[in-house]
Amino acid sequence: MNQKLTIGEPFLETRIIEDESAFSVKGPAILLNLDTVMNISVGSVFSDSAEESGTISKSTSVCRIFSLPPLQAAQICDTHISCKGKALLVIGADTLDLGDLTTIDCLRRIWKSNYELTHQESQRGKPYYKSPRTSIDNVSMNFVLVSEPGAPSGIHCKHAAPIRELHLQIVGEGCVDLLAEDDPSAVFASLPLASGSTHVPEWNTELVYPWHRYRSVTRSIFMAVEISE
Amino acid sequence: MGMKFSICTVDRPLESTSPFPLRGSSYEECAAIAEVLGYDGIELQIQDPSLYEAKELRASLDRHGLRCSAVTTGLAYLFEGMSMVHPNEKIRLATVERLHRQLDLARELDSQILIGYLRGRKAPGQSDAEFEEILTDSVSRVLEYAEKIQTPMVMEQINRNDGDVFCSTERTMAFLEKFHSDLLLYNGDTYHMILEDHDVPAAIRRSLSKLVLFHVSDVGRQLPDDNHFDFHEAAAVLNEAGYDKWVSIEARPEPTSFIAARRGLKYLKEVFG
Repeated sequence: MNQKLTIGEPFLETRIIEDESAFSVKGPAILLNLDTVMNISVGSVFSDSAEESGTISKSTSVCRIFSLPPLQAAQICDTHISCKGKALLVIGADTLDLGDLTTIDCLRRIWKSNYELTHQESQRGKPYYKSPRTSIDNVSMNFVLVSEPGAPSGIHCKHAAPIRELHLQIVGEGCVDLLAEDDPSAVFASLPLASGSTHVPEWNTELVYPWHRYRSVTRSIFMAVEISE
Repeated sequence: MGMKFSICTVDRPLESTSPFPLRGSSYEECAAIAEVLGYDGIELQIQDPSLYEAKELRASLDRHGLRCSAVTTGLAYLFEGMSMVHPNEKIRLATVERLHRQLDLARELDSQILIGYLRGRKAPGQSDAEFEEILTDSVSRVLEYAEKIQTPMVMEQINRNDGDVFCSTERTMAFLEKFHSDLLLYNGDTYHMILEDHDVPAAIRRSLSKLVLFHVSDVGRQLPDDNHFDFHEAAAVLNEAGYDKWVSIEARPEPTSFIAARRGLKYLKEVFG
């Protein structure tokens, strides 16, 4: 399955890939393994046959396949991916310059501010802008623009249902802060995020989370991904 | 008054092989981006006008200071199999009826309809003359309504890989001219011209009497890159003629829709402006 999603349009191309044996990726892309158990193979699926046909000597061959573990992400480029479970592909991150005011203006016109979405007075003026949210089976996701550096989201530790919550960094840099309590000064760990990366799981085996928040380091776009049981 | 710059937009998810660079979940979104980037107008892909509120669309465009360069009709061919030359008369007449509604929408938007793929393909074994006869009948029916509501209909040349008979500018212009109507007009498209017109500047000059929309699109429906075709020469012909109507980017949304829209306008301003 190769399903194109519209949530990132016109800025980012987003696809859900599932059960593909040799999906071709042209140019740079960010890949997130959405499966909680199975790896994704990234690399040339043709290397084995080349070896078998004798065009590559086994004695000099190198490994051309990388295994992306569950719930981990990578930047990939001009390659093939092979997956049984679901994967998320985001294309175009390298084309967005968040230092460019026209780009920021366009993003803010299409993606809604937290205040527009919630009408909560506490959200007025917050530099968080969200794309439409979409769900595919047990996975829901949306993009978030943080139009200012050093801007934290709200601190929380509970979700409406048991989920695995991931922050996939698309553009710029950010981090997920872990806090001892619902207090901005109580940060005890930070999980840094660069473009094309996600963080190690914050949750325990019962899907219980510490207090946490996203925080932009630079102007940033990340994707909020929730995988339900 | 110079040329007006526009971009092909679409409000539904299509693969990137479709040459509509600016994508959104609604035409309001497309208009919001086009406004910020500095376009004068947007071209709308409308499969079924009954699914749109014309006044809302008009208000949206007005809010963003944009015009509609054309209401384009080809999605009805791609997704419903409609065709102005369909062997089944019922489908032909339904296509004509659909185009009447497209004209109604275009009138509300103070615009024009564009017919490309919707004219259809030759049936197996059909002669050029038979194809032209059927198309003439359908065009006459649509044109009659266009004249009644005083809204232009524009027809496009289509290269031999994607269309039949009316592939070159000369052949298409000769077809349009036989109707003797000021409301039946021409859409030149560099993507088709590159393949069909040996002398593109001459073809553009040939079309000037009916040219109201000029699509800029490189080989393979890419954005112009000056490596395959001399767009500067085409622009010079239009500028020398004092052409002051629409020039529109029709290209694949690559590397992304947003970047294609941005680069497209930059190119239009640099080369055609």
